[in-house]
Amino acid sequence: MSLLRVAAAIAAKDLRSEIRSRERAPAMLLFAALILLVMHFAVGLDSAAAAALAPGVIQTALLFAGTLGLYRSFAPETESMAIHGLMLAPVDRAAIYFGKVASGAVLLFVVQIPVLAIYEALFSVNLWGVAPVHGILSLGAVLACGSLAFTALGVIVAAICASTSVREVLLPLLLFPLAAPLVIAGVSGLRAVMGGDPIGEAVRFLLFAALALGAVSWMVFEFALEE
Amino acid sequence: MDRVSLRVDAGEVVCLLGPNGAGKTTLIRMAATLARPHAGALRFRGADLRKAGPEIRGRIGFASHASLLYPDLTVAENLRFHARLHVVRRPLGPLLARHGLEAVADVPARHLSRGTAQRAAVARAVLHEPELLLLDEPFSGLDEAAAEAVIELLRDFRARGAGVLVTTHEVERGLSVADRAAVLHRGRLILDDPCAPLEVVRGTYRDAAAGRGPGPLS
Repeated sequence: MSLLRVAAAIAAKDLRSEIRSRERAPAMLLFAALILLVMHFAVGLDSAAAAALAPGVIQTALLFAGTLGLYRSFAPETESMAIHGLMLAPVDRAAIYFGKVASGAVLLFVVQIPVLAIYEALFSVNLWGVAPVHGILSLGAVLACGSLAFTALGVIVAAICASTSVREVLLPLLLFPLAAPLVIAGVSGLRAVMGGDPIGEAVRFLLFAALALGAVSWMVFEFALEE
Repeated sequence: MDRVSLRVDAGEVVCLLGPNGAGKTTLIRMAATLARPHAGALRFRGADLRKAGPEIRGRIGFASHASLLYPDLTVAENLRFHARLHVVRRPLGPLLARHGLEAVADVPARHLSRGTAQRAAVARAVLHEPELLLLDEPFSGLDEAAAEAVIELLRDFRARGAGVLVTTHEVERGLSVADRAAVLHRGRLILDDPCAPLEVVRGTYRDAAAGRGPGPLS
């Protein structure tokens, strides 16, 4: 079975589990919404300030929400040690990584849609610039690439942390510094969308980061699993 | 593990006995390629298990005291998922029936009783008809009938020429199906003699469980 088909099967399994258990998405959304609410009280109804802060606030909310999701990304595998069943399957073990990245990125992307809606509702800010269709497509591209790059990094870090007893502390300690360039690229991409500027540079950086992280993880994921 | 040397032949059921902490689970996890030994050799039909690729792993079946099932997926979904990974295309109905799982096929694994989860775990381990079956405490939580079904399954595997390694605390159940028994104590194999009478095996296990095992085999 090809790596991509196995990864797709694992991603589909993860998403089905999430739809049943609703463990990650509601918590991620609630957490992001709370951050936006706190910002709302801090900034008030100053639309100009809200617009200026939007890229940073949204990316920060998504960083924290995404991390919350990563905490539980290996929970289905570790709860009944189902990871052993996966590791024994006659497939490239890196497929587990790619499956987790796919499901995690989809989840994070889906959570972002209501997060943006909440931001718009709270601050009355136009997030997609002057050309709605082009703006929405650009916004979608930035968020999708950001989700992919963040999850590509987060899953390998979560896998390394999963077997440690201090994973809750270790995950953000390792993840946040490494994720900083991705968050900055996401902020710059969102700012470009809101200003009607080209997003190519941010999207290219995020895609390159996702590919590079995927390639490195492909090589080391099996060792991370065994540990 | 300390200088353990154990061989499981095709068509043979080997029962590995030992008290808690003897190293049974560590040994069987290494044989299943789930843990990497720091030294020594692990071979499966001549191939180095430490470098085992997907093709070799697909010929091994493993079940442990944890169910290895996804809690939010149903029994049928769990088996279907693993059948897909192992490229098993035959219908799962007979497998469900064989393990008495038809009635719980649509029940999420989270809601299964301990014994039923164990039956589902064994069904998952054998769905691809492995050549080497590794079962870590397969009788744990099973009632008499379910334990008998597992023993019957082991006999089937032996008849089909598969090698089976079973670890258990349940000496009599293990010995009832084993062709050979070995006793592990504090990471060392203290008995592995195909000619050893059952009384000697029982006595060695009892001594090991009481913390007064004999010296290791040289």
